[in-house]
Amino acid sequence: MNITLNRGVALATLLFASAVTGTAHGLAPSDAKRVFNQRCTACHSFGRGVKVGPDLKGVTGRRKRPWLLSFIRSSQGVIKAGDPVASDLFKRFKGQRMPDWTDLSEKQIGDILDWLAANGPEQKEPDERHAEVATAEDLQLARALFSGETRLANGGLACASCHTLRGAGLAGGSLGPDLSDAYVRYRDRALTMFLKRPCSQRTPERAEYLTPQESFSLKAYMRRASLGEVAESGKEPGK
Amino acid sequence: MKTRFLFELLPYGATGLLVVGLAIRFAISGRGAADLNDQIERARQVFRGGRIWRFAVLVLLVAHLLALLVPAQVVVWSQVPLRLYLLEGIGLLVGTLVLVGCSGAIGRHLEQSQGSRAAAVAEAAFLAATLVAVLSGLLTALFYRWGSRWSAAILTPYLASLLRGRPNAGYITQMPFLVQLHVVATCLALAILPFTGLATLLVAAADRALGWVARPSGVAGRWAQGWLRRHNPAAWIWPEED
Repeated sequence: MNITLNRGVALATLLFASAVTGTAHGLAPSDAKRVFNQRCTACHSFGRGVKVGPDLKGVTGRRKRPWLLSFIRSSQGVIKAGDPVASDLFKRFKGQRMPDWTDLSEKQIGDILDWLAANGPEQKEPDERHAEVATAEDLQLARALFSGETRLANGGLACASCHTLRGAGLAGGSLGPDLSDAYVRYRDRALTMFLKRPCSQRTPERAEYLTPQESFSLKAYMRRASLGEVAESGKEPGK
Repeated sequence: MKTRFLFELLPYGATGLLVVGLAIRFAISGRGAADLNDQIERARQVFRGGRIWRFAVLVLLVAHLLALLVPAQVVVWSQVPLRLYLLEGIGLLVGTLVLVGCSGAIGRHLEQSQGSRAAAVAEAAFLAATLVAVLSGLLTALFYRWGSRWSAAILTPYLASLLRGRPNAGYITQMPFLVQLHVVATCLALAILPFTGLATLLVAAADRALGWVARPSGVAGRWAQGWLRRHNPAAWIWPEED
């Protein structure tokens, strides 16, 4: 009785959480990662073994797409229909009931499955890569973004409006701190985290101020400046 | 509390005082024409200044207005380094001219002995607030480079939030002291303006502008009156009375 009640509470909590945070209708395919993290990772891992439910690594190879779609939409429906694989899973995972994600469209579920098939959860975002692996193209992009020659994808103000960077060409602004030694001071990981948010309140007011690629390029550019290697042209020394 | 007062309430209070004060000054300006002429003359002595100063003030006001109305275009235009340096250089030059002119106005105000004591105090306060506003603006441009760019993303949204009636002081509280001083001093100057001789000049200018606007309608009215007299409709409405 208690177990049933607890499962009911857990299910209700999950459904409530999805109602508050999910708003799955109209999600773009690129949001597969976000939906997966919001709805699946509480019970499933990807390549890290069993949690509450099975490890999802390779699931798109183990099961057919129509079966996965039906199971994600209504696991109990598939079990009650007498599907042997679903019944076996239900028994193996101690009767844990998976929430019915009926609010996700076929396309949205398809996008998540595509992302899993491409080992999406194991892929690093571009900005999480170490700055030392940046190419000359990344640095060239960063130089243009920093000076404002190329506009930031989300419409933000160019870094040089407020900041200076040693050897970056255009005399930078002096409202914000000089970023020439920022990389040495904060190091790769802290800078990655820092660049995820705008450094001051300003327009456009949005959480994603820089795209991961822009963030990575700028981090690499700051690294070069910290090491005293930013040439006027933004090209790597010796190239 | 201090933040709310300075950056959320003061701008509205100052604008309210400016609008109501100027409206009252305009409404009572018709009384005592001789006295008004004296006031205008006294105000001219203090505020008129040289042609260059008046031009610099105009450029400064227009530049601030453009930054408020078309911030994105200003940023895009100044993307080219040469344009940015030109814009900021002209801004510094114009700001310096306004500062010099403002100092001159303070000197002329101190030399002037006529007028009421209250008006003299208001004028001194206005000139002091204006001087602080101009000086802090100039120092901001010097010490916090590329104000023409960062102000578009930080100060313009603050002003826009005031205009929308949902003030967001968060934009301004993160700024250096000089920028905050610039905003507060400007608000104070606007609040005091209706009590100064400059208001007399503005009211006189508005009166003259209204006269120009009214002139064509007066001409049209006189022409319509003459036309009606010549083509009196009574003649065909009541022909027997002809």
